[in-house]
Amino acid sequence: MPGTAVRIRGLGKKFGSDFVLKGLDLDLEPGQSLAIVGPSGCGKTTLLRILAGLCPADEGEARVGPGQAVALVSQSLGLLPWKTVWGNLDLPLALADWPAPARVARVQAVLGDLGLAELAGRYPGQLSGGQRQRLALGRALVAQPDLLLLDEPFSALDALTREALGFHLARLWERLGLTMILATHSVEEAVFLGRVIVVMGGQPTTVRGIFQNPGSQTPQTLTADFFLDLVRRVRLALRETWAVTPHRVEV
Amino acid sequence: MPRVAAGLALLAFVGLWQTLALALGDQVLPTPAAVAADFWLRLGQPEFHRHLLASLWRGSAGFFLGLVTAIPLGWLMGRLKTLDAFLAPLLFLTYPVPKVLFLPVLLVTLGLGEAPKIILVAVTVGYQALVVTRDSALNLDPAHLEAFDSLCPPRKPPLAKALALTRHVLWPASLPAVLTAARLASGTAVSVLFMAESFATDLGLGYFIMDAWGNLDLPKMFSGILAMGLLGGMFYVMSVVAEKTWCPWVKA
Ligand SMILES: Nc1ncnc2c1ncn2[C@@H]1O[C@H](COP(=O)(O)OP(=O)(O)O)[C@@H](O)[C@H]1O
Ligand SMILES: [Mg+2]
Repeated sequence: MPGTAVRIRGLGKKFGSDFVLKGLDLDLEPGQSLAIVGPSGCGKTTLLRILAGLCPADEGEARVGPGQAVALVSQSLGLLPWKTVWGNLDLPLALADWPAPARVARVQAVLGDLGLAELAGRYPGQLSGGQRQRLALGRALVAQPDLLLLDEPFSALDALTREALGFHLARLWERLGLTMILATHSVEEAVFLGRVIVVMGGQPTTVRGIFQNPGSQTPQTLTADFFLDLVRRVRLALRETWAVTPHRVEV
Repeated sequence: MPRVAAGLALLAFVGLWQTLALALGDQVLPTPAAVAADFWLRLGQPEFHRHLLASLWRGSAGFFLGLVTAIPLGWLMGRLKTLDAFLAPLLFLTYPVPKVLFLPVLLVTLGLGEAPKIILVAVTVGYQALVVTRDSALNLDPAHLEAFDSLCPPRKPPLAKALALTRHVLWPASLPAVLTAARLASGTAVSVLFMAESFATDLGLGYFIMDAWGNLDLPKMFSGILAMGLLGGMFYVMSVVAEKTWCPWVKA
């Protein structure tokens, strides 16, 4: 499947006898950024875990392009508390058996990219929420993945940190040219970070609407008319979805 | 402030000892000064060194052997369900049994040499360490396991992957608990060592103490007790220092 970064066909996943996801179709080109927005409990995390190879699908397929390296930043971040910022960043390289000098250079580069250079010797328990988030993002990027999966990356942060990290991520995505899928329940975040926005919902969950965002990602974007208009349209689509999604509570 | 408190506590202890010694007379309890003088004297005697070194060697070897056996076994039990199904019942049936009861069995099977004494200490320390290592391996944070899985290249061979998991996740996740177990076991370890050394041997602080008792040489007996106490204290302090240096994230 040349020219496709991700191909999802008739994807279904059930827990017990209930399908959480069913009949999901989606295609993603390389270098694209896709934002998945849907109510809590609709299956965003499940979809990302399937794409990351952490759990199998029950129906259909979710395929990542051949030779594409995938990295996931999970909702809980999964930082190892016994490793310093440096140690956490170095882990993927150690696991991939990179030679030591290349590892040092790469970790240093990522520390710089994410503004963590001063904090290299700290443990995750000594970082702020925003710093932990950046560390998790850095750890996902360090081994240079082709496809980056982000599960509600900013949901635990205050509004300002969230906005700053959003700009940071948008710039990184543009510069690195990687494919990105981001799950969120925030419409603004989805519209700002996704060139394609997919609204998910229903019982079981399926794709309820797809929107394109032609715009740029600058601080001005957040107040531009096209942005606000798109936010309004996505929100309306999400509201329709809400009506047909049972109000599941996340565990 | 904690230093001052510790100093006061020590002073109170010595004061109480002094009072008791004066009340009971030196045929029952020698004064702290008498014991200190005797201990100081013995520190220069090769005879005392032989006993001290024998106990130090048995204690250290037992500690080391116990940890080196228990830690990997604990990981395996925590990670391999089938193995755990066999071994966990055995572990918990024998756990409450005082390990010193193994001494006669060890003496019968292994003879009167060094082996039964070292193994008795190893069993005492090992049981504690085994229980906590197994617990840490069973209760690993799923988020850490998932992070490891998603960061590991898909094509990594299974053995290399298991070794990496041990090094980056299992070992650091269980280390604080293991060192705490070692700290708690240090007192028991020295007391079983005392038992093991108190008969069928003429070497070690246990023998030294029992021999002095037999001769009613009380200052000598107390010097031996002091040395054994210091031995236990050394294992205790080493566990604390190891936790401080190897687990800096715990206090972080
Ligand atoms: N391991 C699991 N076992 C059983 N049910 C699960 C499991 N993981 C997720 N679910 C259920 O699947 C649904 C989707 O969950 P999730 O993918 O986490 O949603 P989202 O990320 O959109 O909030 C929820 O109803 C959740 O309770
Ligand atoms: Mg989720």
